[in-house]
Amino acid sequence: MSKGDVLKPKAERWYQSKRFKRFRRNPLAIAGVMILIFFATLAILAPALTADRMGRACLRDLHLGRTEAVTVLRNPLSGAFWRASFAPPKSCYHIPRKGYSPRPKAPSKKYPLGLASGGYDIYYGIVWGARTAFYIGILVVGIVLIIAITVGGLAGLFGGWLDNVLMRLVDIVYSIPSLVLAMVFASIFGRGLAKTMVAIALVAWPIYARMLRGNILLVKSQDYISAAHAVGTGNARLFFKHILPNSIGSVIILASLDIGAIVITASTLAFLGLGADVGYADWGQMISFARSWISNPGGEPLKYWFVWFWPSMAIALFVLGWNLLGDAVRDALDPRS
Amino acid sequence: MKKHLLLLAALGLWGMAVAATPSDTYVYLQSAVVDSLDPVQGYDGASNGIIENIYETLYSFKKDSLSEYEPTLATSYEVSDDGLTYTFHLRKGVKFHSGNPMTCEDVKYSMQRNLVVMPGDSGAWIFGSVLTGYGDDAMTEAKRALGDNASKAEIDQFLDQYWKKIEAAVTCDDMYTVSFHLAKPDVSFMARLLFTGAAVVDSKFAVAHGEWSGTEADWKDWIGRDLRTSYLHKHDAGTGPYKLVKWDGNNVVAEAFEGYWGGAPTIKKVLVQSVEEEATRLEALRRGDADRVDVNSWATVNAKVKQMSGVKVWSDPKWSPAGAHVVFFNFNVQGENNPYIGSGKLDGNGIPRDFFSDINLRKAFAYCLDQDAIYNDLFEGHGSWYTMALPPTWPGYDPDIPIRKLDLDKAEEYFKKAWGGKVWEKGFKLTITYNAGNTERQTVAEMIKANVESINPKFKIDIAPLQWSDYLKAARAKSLPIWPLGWGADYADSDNFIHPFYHSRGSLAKRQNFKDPEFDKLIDYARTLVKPEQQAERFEIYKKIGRMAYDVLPNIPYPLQSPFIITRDNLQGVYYNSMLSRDFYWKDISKK
Amino acid sequence: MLNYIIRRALQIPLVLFVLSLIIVGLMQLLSPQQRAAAFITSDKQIEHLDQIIEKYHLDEGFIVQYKLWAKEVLHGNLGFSRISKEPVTATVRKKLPASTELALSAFIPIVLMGIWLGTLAATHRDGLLDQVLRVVAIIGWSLPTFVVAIWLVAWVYGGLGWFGIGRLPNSLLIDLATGNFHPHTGMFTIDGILNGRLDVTWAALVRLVLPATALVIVVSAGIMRVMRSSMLDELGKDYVRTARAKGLPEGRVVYKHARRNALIPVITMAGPMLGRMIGGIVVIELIFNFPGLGEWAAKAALQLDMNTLLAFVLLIGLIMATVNLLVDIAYVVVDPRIRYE
Repeated sequence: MSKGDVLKPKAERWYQSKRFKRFRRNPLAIAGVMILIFFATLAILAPALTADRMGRACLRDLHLGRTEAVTVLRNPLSGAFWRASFAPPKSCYHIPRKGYSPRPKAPSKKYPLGLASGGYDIYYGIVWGARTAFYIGILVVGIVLIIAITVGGLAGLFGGWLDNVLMRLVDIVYSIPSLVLAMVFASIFGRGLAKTMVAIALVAWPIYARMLRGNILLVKSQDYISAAHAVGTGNARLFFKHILPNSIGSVIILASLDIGAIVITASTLAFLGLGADVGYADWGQMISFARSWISNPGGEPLKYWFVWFWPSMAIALFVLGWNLLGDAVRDALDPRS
Repeated sequence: MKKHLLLLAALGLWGMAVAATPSDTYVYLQSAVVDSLDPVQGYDGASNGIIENIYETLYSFKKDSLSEYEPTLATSYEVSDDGLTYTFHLRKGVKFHSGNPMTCEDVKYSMQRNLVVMPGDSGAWIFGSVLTGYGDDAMTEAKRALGDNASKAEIDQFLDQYWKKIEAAVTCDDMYTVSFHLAKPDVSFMARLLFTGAAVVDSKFAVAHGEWSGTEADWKDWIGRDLRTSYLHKHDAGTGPYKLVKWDGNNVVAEAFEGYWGGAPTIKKVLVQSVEEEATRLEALRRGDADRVDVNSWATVNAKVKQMSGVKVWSDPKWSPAGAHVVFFNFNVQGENNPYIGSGKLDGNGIPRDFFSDINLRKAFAYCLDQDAIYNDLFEGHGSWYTMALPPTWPGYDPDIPIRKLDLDKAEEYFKKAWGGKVWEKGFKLTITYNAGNTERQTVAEMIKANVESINPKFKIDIAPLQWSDYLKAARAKSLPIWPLGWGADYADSDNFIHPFYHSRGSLAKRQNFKDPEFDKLIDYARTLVKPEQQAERFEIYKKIGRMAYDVLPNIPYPLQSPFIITRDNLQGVYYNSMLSRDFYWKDISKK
Repeated sequence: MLNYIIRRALQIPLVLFVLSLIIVGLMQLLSPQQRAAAFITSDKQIEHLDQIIEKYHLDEGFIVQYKLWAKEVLHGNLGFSRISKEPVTATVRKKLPASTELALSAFIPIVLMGIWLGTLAATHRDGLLDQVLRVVAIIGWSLPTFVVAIWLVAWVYGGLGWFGIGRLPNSLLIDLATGNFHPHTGMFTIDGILNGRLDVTWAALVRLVLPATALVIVVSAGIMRVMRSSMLDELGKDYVRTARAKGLPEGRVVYKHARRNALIPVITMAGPMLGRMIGGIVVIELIFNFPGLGEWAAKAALQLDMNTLLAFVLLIGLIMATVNLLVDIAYVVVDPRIRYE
């Protein structure tokens, strides 16, 4: 693993570095970045892309009329465009329904990707689902880092029995497959996006806590820290000013690149029925809507292909984007190559 | 490569041919899992669907009729003039599956076992509430009556008098005559006795295998016990036409009981399997590996089942399920810091606690519920309309009461009248809740929201899916302003709907603080009409209540999916009795 | 060495203890009513909530509840599973063979594919094959298990009509349920042979194909990646160069020498791979309606069936801890340079 050396001051700009050049020349990295840019665009422009099909509650909370919404939300010069893009009301995350029929409806002009079981607009769900995916990924990484910094920091800083106890805890949580443990936690916490995110974060932190602890021990052993200690710099000050900043860089980068894995866990939980509320734009949940329409024994095969195809493609591509990027970054950081 | 393809094709073709189950075997794939085969414990459709075929009650349903009872383990009965004593003459020569003869002692034991154990998650209250007057087990009742700090002596005293009531509730006049002594007259007693909980259990067999001894000696050990851990949970001690061969998790196997008093049935072997995944059930049906399968919705029936050959969809517009679904209004919302009523004032950001006490609002909301969409979208046109909270096929139902369908103009008119025009002027904000995962209730909530909000931009409705537990808790605490809920019948008497829905002490109406002396008076009076010749009058009263409910509108009844039964087309003798857990008795079917 | 093994083995109960503490502890976040509601199946039982709380001691504190649970467990009683309506141990006995059968049927293809493709990628380093395999691995790694499973169900089973879902066709399950077939091991492929019913073995094998394929797709990519990089490490070492210089045939160098050493780091992957496999099995069993432990646990999670979930996690904890210990031992055996104190 890298040893926190990414963050050492450098004369050259980051984009001039060899590492970045190697990264840039990697076609897989470029593909990953392109995929993520695509999803980020979907996510940011979600209100504009779906202005013509927004639910009533969403329009109400945006203080817009239906016809007005289309013109205003698609005009980057309007304030509403920016408000909706960056701070949309919660109600906009709920997929509007066209009718309530349990039978999926094939793609049509108005609903280009079709309607899922329950009249849910698949196009809307895919577009807003991109927001949800980023949202889950970023927030969970945030929570994971907080836990990892607390646990890894305490262990690395104080060492001794505390270190021992915390690292055993890390071992235990790490030894259980994350999906299994996340499933149990989500079951206890109950349904709801925030609860699911906490459940996922509670199983994802150990590897980063361990990594951070390792980095801290390394930094601590370096001369300038011992020197600072000798000069009488306080423990806390030393920790926050020197040790932490020098150990945390690679942990943050690697944890962020794990968004793909986090989204897999989140969508799996949603698929199992342990995710956000029913109707929330979430790809995993959209596949669970499709559950009973995946195969059509005796009838026309693949008749309802659109109900599972689009959301499953969305998840697969999104995760692929992160993993391509992650793979390239790890490669670029790898001191061996 | 070619070889591989051939191999794959061979694999695929394997088992594609339509098989068929043997003609004396009935295979039923259901979605639910059996909970318990103990008649006292079983309180769900999957369990009772088995119990009703291996056990019997004194009387049972005559095929699909809800009002005609057939003598089964009894041959006749009479009711005392005060309506407090029901005396049954038992059928002679009936044998249990163990070979023991059935006598009065078994009937007495079986009923008293209900009253002694009274598991909280069972239907034993159906008998307790009429025979001893207690709806909960002895310890719970003792705590309720005496408080938490009662001394041991006080509790013992309470338990003693509880036991005396149990002892007095059922008596044996002779070996083949049994009497039930009611705490107070109850018009639905006969209907209650048809519930599987009253099934007659082989007392000698049960006691020999460690169940309650039938005496005072160990009754206290059995109070409130979870019967899923005792012998009858997995073993059969019945008289029914089928006896249990085995039950392991997902499979129940039964075979015809050759010594059945009514003659051995045509179908000799029954396999009931729990298969949660609908696709798997459909696949088995298509291949002929199952004779009957559960299907969730009409949408699936129309989209998938009807394309299959050799499959029959049994349905009839005249069938209706033994349940009612309504949207409740709360007449006086309770609870401090109640999150569902916003500011708690009529200021556009909330509602006052007695918001829905204004009839105009209840009507306005009723006109916002798109019942046609429920009927057409959700049920694809196969539904039962409800004019009142009583199943349409039940006596006392009035089909001539109008139904309020979607009419936004009328809704607007009533919104304008509500609270002297203040609602229209200020607007309001409230939360409709439903239990998370229930699509039907979610749909109802979303419909009301969409339509109400479209009338006036100042009307704001939020929708909150609640965890099942929170939903029940909030409903019990009377803190929900408006919520959809369903009710299924426990026994086939219209009082089982009219009282809970419309009486101020009814288990549902009390949660919405609905109280109308007119209703109470009529319902209480109807309960005193015990005699057979008074039934016509009783059912007229129920119709009247239905008509009053149309005007007063304590709740909005909405349509239910109409029932259907999916079988292979060689299965004969299928009928639909909404009070049977699985629609028909196995003994009545056969195969071509 | 022996000391080390004993010490590690003694830690396993501790791990299980901490796990159970965590889960029972988290349960305390719920109110007694919420915990009681998990026992309720119909609207009506709301009236009896208090009785249920009383019966299952749901209003007691953490320590009392944990003691109640632990006392039962120490007597070998893992409690009653609400969703399978029988004692947890009885269900485990029935479902563990199903999951084991699935895992075993996927295990060999996973390992072989991973090692073979990893070697292939390493020997073609930076060539076209390596690039292609790399992309394939990343894609395999990126696909959520349930997506793979659903694609297989939709395209192969639904679209082409091949194979089947479930463990056995219903026509054979009837034989099983009515007792014409004795389940010796609970694994139908083996039981079929033992009962002289090759049709059952064949049918079980046919239905294992799709779920096992799904597992292979999601798990083997990881092994392949580790194999590739460890193989590259080995190929860069002196002894390989020496061997080549001595004129040993390239195939012999790669397959006889380098690969054997490159396998050592792959063994360490056994733990994480098994973890990924168990996670995959939960979802795969659910989608292929394969009645094993994973499907059981997933349903328990939906209904907050605590006894079942606890038993499942503890069982998984036990399996993982044992496997990790075995990996450590195997590591010493294959690489004598490592010494544990």
